[in-house]
Amino acid sequence: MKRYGSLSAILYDEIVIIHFVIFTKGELREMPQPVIRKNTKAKTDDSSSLKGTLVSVFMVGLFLIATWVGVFYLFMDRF
Amino acid sequence: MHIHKYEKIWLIFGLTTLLVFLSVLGVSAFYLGNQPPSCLATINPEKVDTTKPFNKPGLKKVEGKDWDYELVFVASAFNYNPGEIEVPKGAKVKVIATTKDVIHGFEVAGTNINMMLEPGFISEFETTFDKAGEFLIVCNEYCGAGHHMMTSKIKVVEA
Amino acid sequence: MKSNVMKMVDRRDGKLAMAHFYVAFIALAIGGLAGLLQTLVRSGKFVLPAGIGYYQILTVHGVVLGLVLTTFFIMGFQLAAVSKTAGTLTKRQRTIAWIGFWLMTIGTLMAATMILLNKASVLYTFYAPLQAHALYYIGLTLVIVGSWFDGAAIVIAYIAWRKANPGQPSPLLTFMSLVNTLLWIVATIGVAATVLLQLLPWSLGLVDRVDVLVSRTLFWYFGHPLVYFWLLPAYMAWYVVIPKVIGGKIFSDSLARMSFILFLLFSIPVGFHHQLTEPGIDPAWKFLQVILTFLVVIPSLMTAFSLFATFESYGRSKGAKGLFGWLKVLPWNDARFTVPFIGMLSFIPAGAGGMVNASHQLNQVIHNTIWVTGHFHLTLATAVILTFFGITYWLVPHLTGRTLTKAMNKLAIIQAVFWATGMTFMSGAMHAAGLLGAPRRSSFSEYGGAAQAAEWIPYQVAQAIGGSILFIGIILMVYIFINLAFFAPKGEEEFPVGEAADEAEKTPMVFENWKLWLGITVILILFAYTIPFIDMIENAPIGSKGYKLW
Repeated sequence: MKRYGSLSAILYDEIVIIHFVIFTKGELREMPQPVIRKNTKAKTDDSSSLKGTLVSVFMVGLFLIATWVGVFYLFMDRF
Repeated sequence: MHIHKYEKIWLIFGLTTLLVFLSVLGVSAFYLGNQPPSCLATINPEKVDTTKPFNKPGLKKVEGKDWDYELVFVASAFNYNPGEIEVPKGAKVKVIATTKDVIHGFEVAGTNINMMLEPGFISEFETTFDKAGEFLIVCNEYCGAGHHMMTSKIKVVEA
Repeated sequence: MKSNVMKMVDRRDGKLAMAHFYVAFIALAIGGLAGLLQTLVRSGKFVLPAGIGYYQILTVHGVVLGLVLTTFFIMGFQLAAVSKTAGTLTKRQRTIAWIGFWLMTIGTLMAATMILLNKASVLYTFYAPLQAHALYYIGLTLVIVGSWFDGAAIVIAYIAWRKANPGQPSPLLTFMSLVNTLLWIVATIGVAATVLLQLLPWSLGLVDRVDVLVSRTLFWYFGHPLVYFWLLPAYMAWYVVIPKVIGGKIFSDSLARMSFILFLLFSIPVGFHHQLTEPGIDPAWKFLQVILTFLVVIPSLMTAFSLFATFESYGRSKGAKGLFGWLKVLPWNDARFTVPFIGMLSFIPAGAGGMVNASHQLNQVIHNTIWVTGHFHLTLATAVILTFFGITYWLVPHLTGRTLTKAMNKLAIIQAVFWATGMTFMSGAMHAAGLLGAPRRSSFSEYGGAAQAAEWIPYQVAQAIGGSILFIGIILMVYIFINLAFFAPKGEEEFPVGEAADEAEKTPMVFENWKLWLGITVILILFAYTIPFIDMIENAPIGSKGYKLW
């Protein structure tokens, strides 16, 4: 059925996204900590890290995706 | 203007997500035909009762079309005609509706059949009734004091 | 900017802003009561007394909270913000703003009278061919025109500042107030056009018929930027005020300006996403506006990052460790921070729901179900309004020369807890019932004993419980407002204006190039609307006569 054709398409896309997330997060952990402000006095890496921000916004992003996919599933399931 | 590296990652992720959503919606709409109801046909709202197919509301079997049945509804404050209808399960149906007076909604609860009925316009939606059961039709656009009493029912029965 | 930090808003400007706030909080009390009554009626266990109609109080609720509270509060806040950051208004600017205030107030009273006389139970969207009394339309027109006078004062003050400070980027709060004012002026042209050219002559009997689709399209050309007009003042507080309140810095001045410019560009040519299930509009044009709607998600993604980054940077500067250690050092006991913070959190599910609403065919799942009501009670009635409450806690005492006492601060946090709890029940139940098909804008009904309608009733009871808790929140809020306006101890309350972390980096002047930004705004609007609008007029059916069906 054509409708389920596009359901599998989105599932595929979701898998791609999830891979992307896991991949980028994994990579970031090994990256050196960037320093935001070059003109500030000596700061330890940790004090200028925005790691928590990155994880937080990705949690927001995953929530957005989950909601959207959920309603998309309802749309596909209903006639 | 300086953008933090993590913010770039976040924005690329966000943009990719939006693009994926839009692609899924676009393919579903333009290639698989899942467009929202957007019928472009007009009608004189004062002559609905004498205009085909609205002169005979209800379910009609049709031949030689992409769908097997046409299900015609006429809405007016505060009721739908027909007030109850049976549809065989698995039927491919084009739902065709219009209003004789103000704007009404036409929502078959628990389905994707959800469209605005506006005076002067015909609204259409094509779908296959593939689940048996009783489905309530409600008016979901405010139309006056009896808005919440405006209802009909579709019974999808085993063919 | 630094020299302004301890400066108080001029008393005369303070009076002007306070006048706006008095009306806003009266509106909150009346509209909140109407909302409570609605949820009680919908539970099926309560009937309105004295022949008052459900749709009459629904109209009160929408007009008084959606149009009156918001417009008055926002204009009062923006005038105060401009006076604070760009300097005291001139006498001429202040007079223009006072004219605006009185026009809006007179308009509100006219519209309110017509609603109370049951001559205008057409809800705040007043969809033709339901026809209200002409005075209702005139009243709403005066509210809009009055807001243009308020807006003009802001625009003139901005121009004067730029002239006095050539080559300088305008103060951030002034810049943001200006963007929101421009957005508002461009957007309200649509609703002014349908009211003045279509609905008013028709309700006066000068013309017989009205083009329903054109009227709806003009309304929604206005209706979506309207929600961004509500949201941007909250973003002003999130970007500029909150960093100062917690003792941190604005993450980036330039990015904040850029996100506001993106809102100006993309929040207007998107009205079709409110009309996705309508006949008479080609689905390809609907999809184009869906794409534009998705673009307006981007500045909100930027905002989310900036806010988290502000909090994390502050926390780490205080020595917080680990991934989320910074959360612990935030000033949770300070209502000026905590109350808007709850608003920020609510914007996450609000945004998720909004993306569903705008997703072309997915709209069929939720269109005009009570899901939508649940959605904008998270956006407007939580994210925005809790931020407005958070602003009230320092701005009102700042303007009245009083202070927020410890007791009031505590009560303010309790108020927000009530609000969050009530809204979780109410909005959560609305979202769930909406997915099951329960319609919005509908009085209690068993729909002839239908099994599906019976499933919705427990959710409606939950909404009534949530609505009752929210009403306690409204009583607390009105109490705090009265305290801050008239009874709190005299003193000096700070008007917190944050400084940018990247101050060394100069803000690009391109953000102040209004010919460019307004030019792109107009081009996008013409691109998104011209052809479908011509189609609508060329293929228009015979117009509709007016109906009074309430």
